[in-house]
Amino acid sequence: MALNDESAAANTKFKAITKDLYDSVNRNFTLQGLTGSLPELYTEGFDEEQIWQQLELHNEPSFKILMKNVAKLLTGKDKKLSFYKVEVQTDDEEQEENGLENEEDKDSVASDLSFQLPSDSDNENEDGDDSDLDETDALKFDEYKMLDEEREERPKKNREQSMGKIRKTEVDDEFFKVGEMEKFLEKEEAEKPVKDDDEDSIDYFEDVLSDDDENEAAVKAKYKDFFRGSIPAGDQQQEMDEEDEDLEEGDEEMEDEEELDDDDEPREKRVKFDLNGSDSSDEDESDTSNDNLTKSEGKSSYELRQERLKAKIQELEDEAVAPKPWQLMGETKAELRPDNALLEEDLFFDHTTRQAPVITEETTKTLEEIIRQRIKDQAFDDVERKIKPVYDPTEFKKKLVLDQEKSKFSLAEIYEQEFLKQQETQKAEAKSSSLADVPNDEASEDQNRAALRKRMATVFAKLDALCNFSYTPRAPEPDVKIVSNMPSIVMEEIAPVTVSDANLLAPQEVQDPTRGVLKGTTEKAKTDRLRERRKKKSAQRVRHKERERTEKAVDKANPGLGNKHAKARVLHNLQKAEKEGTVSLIKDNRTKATKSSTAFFKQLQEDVSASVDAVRQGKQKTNLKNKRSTGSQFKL
Amino acid sequence: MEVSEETAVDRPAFPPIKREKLENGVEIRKISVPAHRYSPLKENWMKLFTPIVEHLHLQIRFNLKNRQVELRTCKDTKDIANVQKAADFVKAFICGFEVEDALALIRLDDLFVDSFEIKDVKSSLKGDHLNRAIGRLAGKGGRTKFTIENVTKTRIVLADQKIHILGSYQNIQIAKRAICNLILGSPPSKVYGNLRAVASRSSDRF
Repeated sequence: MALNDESAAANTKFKAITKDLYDSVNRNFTLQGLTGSLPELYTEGFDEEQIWQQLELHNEPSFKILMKNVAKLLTGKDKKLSFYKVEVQTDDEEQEENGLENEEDKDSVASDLSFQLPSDSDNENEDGDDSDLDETDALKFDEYKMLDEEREERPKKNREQSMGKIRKTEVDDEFFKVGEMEKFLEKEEAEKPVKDDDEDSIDYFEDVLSDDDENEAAVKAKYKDFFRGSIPAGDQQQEMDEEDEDLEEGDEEMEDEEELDDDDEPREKRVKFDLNGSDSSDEDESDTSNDNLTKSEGKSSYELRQERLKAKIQELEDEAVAPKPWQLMGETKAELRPDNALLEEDLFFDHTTRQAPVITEETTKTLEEIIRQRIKDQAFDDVERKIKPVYDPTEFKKKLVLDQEKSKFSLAEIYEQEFLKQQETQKAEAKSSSLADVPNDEASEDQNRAALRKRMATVFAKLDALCNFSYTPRAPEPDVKIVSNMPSIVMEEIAPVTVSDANLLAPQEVQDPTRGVLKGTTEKAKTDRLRERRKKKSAQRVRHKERERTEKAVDKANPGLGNKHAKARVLHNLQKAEKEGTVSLIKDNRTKATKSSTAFFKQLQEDVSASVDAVRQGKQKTNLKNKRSTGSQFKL
Repeated sequence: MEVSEETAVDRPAFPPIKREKLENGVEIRKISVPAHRYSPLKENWMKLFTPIVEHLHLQIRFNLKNRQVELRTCKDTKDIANVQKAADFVKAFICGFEVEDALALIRLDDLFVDSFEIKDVKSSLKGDHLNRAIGRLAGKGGRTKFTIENVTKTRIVLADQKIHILGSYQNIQIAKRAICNLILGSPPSKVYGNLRAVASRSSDRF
C-alpha cells in the first residue's frame, strides 16, 4: 500500500510537470505550420491513456516538421557546416536567446531522443538526463548554427571571386593560373592598399615573420616541400644559393632573416607568381613595407603612373647608354663572347663556294626517273663518230681504189652491179638528146623522184625568199666524178673534125701545182738557184736517212756480212776509201816466193804497218775536215 | 686394064664405142675431185646441185668409187653449152673458189679461170725464197691478195704453189701482171700504185 501511495503521488507530480511543460511550450514556442494541437494539456480527470493521446496529437506533426528542419540544416547547399569549438562561457545571454528560440525544436528532438532510449533507462531517470542532454545538445547545436550563419553573413565576394569564372589558358599549371593572376591584379589596382589593423584580415602578401625558432623550418620551406616535379633551372640555382646561405646561417637569430637577399625573398610568391620580382624585395622588411604603404597612401594614381613611366624611361636610358651587347659590336672574337653563344644565334652569311648537292632520297628518285625516261625514249648521249669532211677532190684519188679487206660481195654480185650500172648509163645516154646537155649525176631517176625533186626545189626557193635570202648555204661538197685522162676529142665529138691534143684532165690534176712563178734556167737569180739546191739537198738527206734506217734494220736482223746488203756496202765503202786515200790496198806484187815462214811473216808485218800508217794519216785529215762546220749551222 | 676386085683391105681397128656416146646427144662430163676438196664438196653439195639442176637443167651425180663429179644432159636441157658451163662451174669450185664466186661463171659468159704456178714465173725460187714469195703474194692477213681482187674485180686462189684467177679476160691480165710483179720481188706499195693507175683506166673500158 505504501508503494501504491508513493506511485500515486509520483504520478500526480509527473502529470503536473508534464502539464506545466506542455502549457509553457504551447504558449511561448509555437512551431510554424503546426495545427491541430491542443492549447492546453488537460490532466484532471483524464486517464493516462488520454493524456498520452493528447501528447501524441501535438508531437506527431511537430516531429515531422522538425525532421525537415534538421534535414535542411544537414544538407545545406552553400553553407558549410563546420563544427568547431567555441567557448560556451562567453555569452550566456546569447546562448539563452538562441536557445530559447530553438528550444522548441530541441525539445521535440530531445523528446524523440528520449523516446528512442526507453528500453535502456528507467522513466525516473530520464527527466534529469533528458534535460541535461537537451541543454548540452541544444547549446552545441546552437553554436554550430550560429557559426554557420556568421559565415553566411560574411561578404560573399571572396568566395565568388575564387569560385567564379577563372580564365583557363595553356600556361596554367598546378600552382599557377593566369586567370588568378589577372584577378589579383585587377583587385590590386581597383582597391587602394588599405592596411587592416583587424586581426581578422590577413595581409596575404606580407611575409610572415615569426619570432619562434620553431617556425624557422616553416619559413624556410622550399618548393620541393610543397610540390612534386622538377624545378626550373634558374630557380634551382637560386635554391642552391639559398641552401648554402642557410647552411652558413645555421643557428643564427631570426634577425638575420630580415636581411634577406633578393634571391631568398618571395618563396611563397614564387609558388604563385613572381609579379614584381625585384620590387617585392622591399616588402621583406615590414618596416620598409610600412613606410611604402604610408607613402603610397599619399600618392595619387596619376603619380603612380608617372612613377612607373619614369622607371621605364630610366631603364631604357640605361640600356641605351650602356655598352652594347656583343651581337651589336662589329667584329667579335671568341674571347669577347660568352661560351657557345654563337650556337644560339641565327647567323646569316654568304657562301662563296658552290655547295655540294645534298643527296637525299628525293634527289636519287628524280635522277632515276630521268634515267628511266631516257631509256624509254632511247635518247642517249652517246658520242657520235666525227668524220673529217673532205674538201679536196684529190683526197678521193687516194681513197678510191684500195680496199684491203675481203670484199663482202661475191664476184657474181659485183658483176651484177656492174651490169646494172652499165644498163642505167646506157639508158641515160639513150634518153639524152644531144651530148651538149648537162649530164645527170644520178644514174637512175624515177619519175616520182624527179617530180619530188622539182617540188622540193620550189619549196626551198620560196623559203629562201621569205627569209630574204639570208641563210647559210650548204657547204660545197666535192662531187666525185671519175674522169680518165683521155683525149677529149674521143669523148666529145663523134666525128673528128679537127685534131686537137687537148686532154680531159686539167694540168693541175695531172701534176701537182707548183707554187710561185715558174722561171726558166736563164731567168733564175742566184737566190733561186741556191733555193733549189737547198731543196734538192734536203730531199737527198731524207732519202739517205731512210736508207740508213732500213740498213740498220737489216743489220739487226742479220748482223755481220751474212746478207748481201752488208757485203755490197762494205765493198762500196772500201772502194770509196781507196779513192779518197784513207785505205791503201795491199798490192800483192811479190815476184819472188818467200822461202821461209819467217821471211813471209816479216814481209807481212811490214806491209801491214805501212798500211796502218797510211790509215792514221788519213784519219787525221778527216778529223780536221769534220771539224769544219757549215755556214748554215750558224745561220740565225 | 683389069678392074681387080678389092682385095681385103685392113679396116682400121676402131674399138667399140662406149655406151654414153651411142645415146642420142647426151653429153657427159667428169670432173675428178682431189682429197682435200672432198669435205668442202660434201658441205656445199646442195649449193652446187641446185643451180645446175634448176637453171641449167642438167643431171649431176658424184661417183663415190671414182671420186668424180659427173654431169649429163637430159631431155630438159635447152642449150648444149650449159654442160660446158656447168663443168667450168664445178671445176672452179674444185680449184678452190667459193660457190658464190663460181656461180658468176654460170651467169656471165665471158668469165674464165686462169691457173699457173709460181715456178712458171720465176723458176729459180726455191725453199725459203719460194715461201717468202708466197707470203708476199698474200700479204699480212691476206691484204695484198684482197687488194688485187678488189681493184681488178677478180677472185684469186693461192693454193701453195698454184695460182688460180677467176674473172674477165682483161681483169685476169691485170691481176696476173700484179701477181707476177709480186713474185718477182717488187714491194706491195709499188704494185698498188701500178694497180691504181691501171684500174682507173680499166673501169671505163668495162
